[in-house]
Amino acid sequence: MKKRNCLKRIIISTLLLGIFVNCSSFNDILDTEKVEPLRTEIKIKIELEGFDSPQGLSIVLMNYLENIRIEKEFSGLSVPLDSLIPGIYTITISGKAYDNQGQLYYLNGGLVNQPLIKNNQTVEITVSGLKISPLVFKEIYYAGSAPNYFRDQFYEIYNNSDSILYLDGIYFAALYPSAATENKPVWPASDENKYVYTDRLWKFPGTGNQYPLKPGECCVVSQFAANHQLNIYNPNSPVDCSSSEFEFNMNNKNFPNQPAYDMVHVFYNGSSAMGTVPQYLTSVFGGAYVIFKIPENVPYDPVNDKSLQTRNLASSSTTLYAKIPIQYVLDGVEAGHNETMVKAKRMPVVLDAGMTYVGGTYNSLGVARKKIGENEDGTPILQDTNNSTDDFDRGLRPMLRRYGAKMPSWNHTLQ
Amino acid sequence: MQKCQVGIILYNNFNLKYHHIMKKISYILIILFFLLSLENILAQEMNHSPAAIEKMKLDQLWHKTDNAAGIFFDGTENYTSLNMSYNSINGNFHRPQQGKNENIWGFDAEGGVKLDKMYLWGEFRYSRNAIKDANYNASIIDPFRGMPYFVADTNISNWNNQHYELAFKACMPHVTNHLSAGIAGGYKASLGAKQRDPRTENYLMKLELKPSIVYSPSTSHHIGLNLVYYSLKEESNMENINTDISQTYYELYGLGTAVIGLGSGRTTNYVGNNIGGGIQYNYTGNVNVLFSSDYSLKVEEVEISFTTPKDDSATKQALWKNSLYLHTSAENHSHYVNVEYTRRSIDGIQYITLRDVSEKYQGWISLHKNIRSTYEDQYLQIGYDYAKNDRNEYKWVAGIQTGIKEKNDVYLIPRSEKKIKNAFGEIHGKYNFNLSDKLAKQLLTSVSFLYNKNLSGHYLYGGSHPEYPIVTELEQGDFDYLSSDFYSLHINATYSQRVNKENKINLFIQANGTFSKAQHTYFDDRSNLLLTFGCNF
Repeated sequence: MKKRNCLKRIIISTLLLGIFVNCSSFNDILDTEKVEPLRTEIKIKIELEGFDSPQGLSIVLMNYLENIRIEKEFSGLSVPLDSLIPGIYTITISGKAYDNQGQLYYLNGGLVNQPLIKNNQTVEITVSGLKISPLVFKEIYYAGSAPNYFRDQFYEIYNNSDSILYLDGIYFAALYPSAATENKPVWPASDENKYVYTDRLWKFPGTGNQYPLKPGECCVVSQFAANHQLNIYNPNSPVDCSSSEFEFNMNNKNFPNQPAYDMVHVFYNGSSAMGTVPQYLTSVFGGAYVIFKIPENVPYDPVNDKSLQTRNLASSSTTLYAKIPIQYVLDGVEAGHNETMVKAKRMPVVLDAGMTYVGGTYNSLGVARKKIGENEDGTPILQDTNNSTDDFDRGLRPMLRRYGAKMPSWNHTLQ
Repeated sequence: MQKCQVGIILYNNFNLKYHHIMKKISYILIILFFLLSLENILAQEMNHSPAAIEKMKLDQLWHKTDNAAGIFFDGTENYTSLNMSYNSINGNFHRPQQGKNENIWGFDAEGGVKLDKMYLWGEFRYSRNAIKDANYNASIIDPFRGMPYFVADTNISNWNNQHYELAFKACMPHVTNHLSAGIAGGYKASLGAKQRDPRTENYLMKLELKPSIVYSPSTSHHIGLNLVYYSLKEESNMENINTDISQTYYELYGLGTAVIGLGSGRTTNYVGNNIGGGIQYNYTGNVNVLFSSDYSLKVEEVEISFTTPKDDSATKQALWKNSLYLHTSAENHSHYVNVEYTRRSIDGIQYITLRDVSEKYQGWISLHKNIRSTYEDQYLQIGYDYAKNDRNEYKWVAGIQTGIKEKNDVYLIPRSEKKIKNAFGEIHGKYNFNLSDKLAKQLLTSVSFLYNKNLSGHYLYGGSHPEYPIVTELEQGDFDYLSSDFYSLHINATYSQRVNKENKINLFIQANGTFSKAQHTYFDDRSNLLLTFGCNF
């Protein structure tokens, strides 16, 4: 009898093992095949009127995880790609082109995080365009300095054109989420990808022509426009921001108002009030920054116009975010932790097809737009291809008014 | 993806964070072990000197297999062996992920007991490892366990690890006239903690079950069959204590392929299931021959984050082990021959995942997976030992071993290769000095010399970021180590004696020293001193 029981136990044990063998995930893994190169075709569709052919446009496929870059020129309405490794790609089509009326546009389109995993897959990309912006981010310092000082952040905006531009009323924002993440918010489908979103909105003061920027001039907007190298702040800081034109004054008694002009606070959580946060800190990992200008005849009041507010639909939080119309963005630059974080882009490809980075936090390093030439007065001509991976030098010691960019005459130090 | 429901229930019910519960179970098992050992103390018949225990293990062929039903044919000696040990390892001839120094405190207990018609064997091992100055590992307790997907960093750090291992074999001979049955099992729990940012706290457990039978058509012929199942889980929780400083780290994908990260790392969950079986044939007569062949398949999945799980990668491992043991004994001498061939093939699978950002948020969606890398290790070893016997001990033993080790690792696209072929030869001898018949005082000494010769090898990296330290230091350094010629000298001395005339408990103290000298530009040597104190009865 004992012997039979023993046999029974062994049979039961064997059956239990059989259950485990039958696990679907076990079998699923066993059936996995070896990787093979793929063939893919990318088709282009130009949305803007006045452009008949993709002549002059180039396509770039980036697999940021595996650091694969494939670049080709369009000769027809499609580009075949062979020997592609399966993966998640960011595809951008870009190039400068004049329309039928002679207006210069930067044509740009693409797909972020597009899976290319099937052989003989066809992907269609719609290309739209922005007028070339003469006002660009020239230098951004967001990482802070050791040991953990972040009040020396600044953003430099440059007139890259040959005519006078006015800062008055131009908006500034860092997009939400503040740091690049794959855990993205969900925005209303009804917005149809026409907006980007921010938790806090600022704008330059002025009534229309109080803050002109001549060609080759720039303005520095600091989180706190002080000399950060003073002992009371952080002698390790690489910058003295006391000559900044503007600052984000949050009425913090410990970091009092400086002589720089104050940016005008516009929006935070559905209100024009600043809230209780004692400083305007953007992520030390790198934010996604935009400047935009709303035409005079277009109403834009995200505090009172509820249609310009939204919640993050992926969250139960009631925090309200302001909508920024993509078509009015003058320049956008996205920064992230490092090269692989492009997979977590927040900014649409049409605004910035890439990402810049300094590879660390509190490392006293910043990013600066590349200089590609000089004006007659020695001021720089800066590169702007709407791809901050290519347009920016990374990991530089931050510097105000690099390359001999000029200070506007209304800077407080010149008064 | 459909999941293994049975496995999930098991894992969810088993929270590794309550590891101390397992400690208590271990303590209870140790007490039981000692209670069983009492039977051995009371029923001592044989002298269990260290040489006798060694000889007994040399003679046991079925014990070397996974088939517990066959251990009855090895003999059913009652014995117990307990020891505590301290091991100190130093020197720069090591793999990059090993510590520069390592100190290990250990406690081992092992024994066999015959109860009625059953024979039981059990083992408990505990070790506490203090690893100093380890590099390129920020997330896994054992970076050499055949799992290429983990996180590495360049901050040289200490690790504090603890390991608990329990194993048992139970044999029920003659369940029917020709059939014996048995079951073997084991439980292993490990805790590991890296001591510097980005740091990690890891919990690992492995639960193993091996039912078996032996069919004996005659007294000389025995045919065995066994199944093997084990379940493995490791949980890695990375964090920074200094949250002001984000750390650079690398997520490894094999042979140098890595994705750089910045921050505090990640939470990784490893879940593995292994299923396999073995067959054995044993002939007992003038010669005792045992052939064993085992094949097993293991699938281990790597998932990142518990809150929003993301399939990252997986491995599929096929392990094929073949062994042939031959043992013949005359009145005062024995011959032992062993031939072993092992082949381990691992397919490294990477997932392509996308996060759902729609209003119907579904977390991470796995879109595709492919085998992106393959890892193959082969090992062939032939050995011969001659022993001059002295009752149940040996007087002296002389033996040789030789073999070939081959590694063939490939990252498929873009192609990278790490291929190494080594041959080794070893000669060893042991002598058991009888110092005094009074209290059976003995000095068991042994010396062995091993030479490893690299026959061929190369490491070629064809992927992105060849400048990463993962390529230039970790993988290249690992290749340099594994392809290095070296010699190794091992010396052992064990003094043993009985406690008193009436009591046959055998106390022993043992010193082991190993010195390995590399013949390579980048390496010097590695020394290992192991001191053990224990008793057999």
